[in-house]
Amino acid sequence: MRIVLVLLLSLAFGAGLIVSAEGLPVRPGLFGAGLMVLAALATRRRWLLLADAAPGSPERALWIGFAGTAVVAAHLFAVMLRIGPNLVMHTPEIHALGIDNWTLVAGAVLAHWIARDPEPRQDERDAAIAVAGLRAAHYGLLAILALQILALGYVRGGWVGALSHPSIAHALILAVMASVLIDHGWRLHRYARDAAVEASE
Amino acid sequence: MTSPVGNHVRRLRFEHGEMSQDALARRVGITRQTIVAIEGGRYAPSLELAMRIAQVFGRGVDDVFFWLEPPRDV
Repeated sequence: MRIVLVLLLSLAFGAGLIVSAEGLPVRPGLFGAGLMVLAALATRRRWLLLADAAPGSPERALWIGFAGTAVVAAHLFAVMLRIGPNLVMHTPEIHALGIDNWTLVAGAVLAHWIARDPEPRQDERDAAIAVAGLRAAHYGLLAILALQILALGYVRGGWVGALSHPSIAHALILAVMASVLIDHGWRLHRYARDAAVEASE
Repeated sequence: MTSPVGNHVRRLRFEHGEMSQDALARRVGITRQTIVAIEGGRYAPSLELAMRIAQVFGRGVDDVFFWLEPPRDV
């Protein structure tokens, strides 16, 4: 439940940066990165207070990576919807939106650094969970690519038919980001399942 | 998902000065959550990790870990 909530909030936040861009005092990328850093500081404080009950090193990295990736992906997706299928590179508007997106990436990296475990520890169980997550992400990516290939090959006209090469390239980037979300979501689900059993014992 | 391998880790911890899960985890270089999963029977450690845990208690692997139900095809 918490995983879905964080995903939905992060997606809404990333997309909301495009919708509310004109009402913001600074560039949306900078605003978003700033809020990600603040959220990371608050999360680090909460995990510090939880002490032994706080999530382990890999789980912490997954939470921050999951939320950060969702924000960046939702922002990119909203940019693509706003620009439309005929995305052309190297225009002033695209440059500004691109800088916003990369600023969000920088914010996500900074948030990851802030909220990381100061004494990182991971072991063979984390590696086994990571393998399960990567397997889910692998099949998820294959499914998304198959859908993209079928859409590009068989849908004529409309939005899909008008997609420019840069649009298709960005759709592929989104597919990769979706697979990262599947990986992180799957692994967080495994950790959450273990934590629920531990709490019930 | 329950492991077919049981263990006496929880009992041995208490017999060794009520060693905490985190202390044992640090001794063998793993996370506290993995000790919790092992004690709860939800994770079967690798042979190397099982040997390291047994070594902390000064026991053999067989004294710490055991089959709950031995596989029939061995």
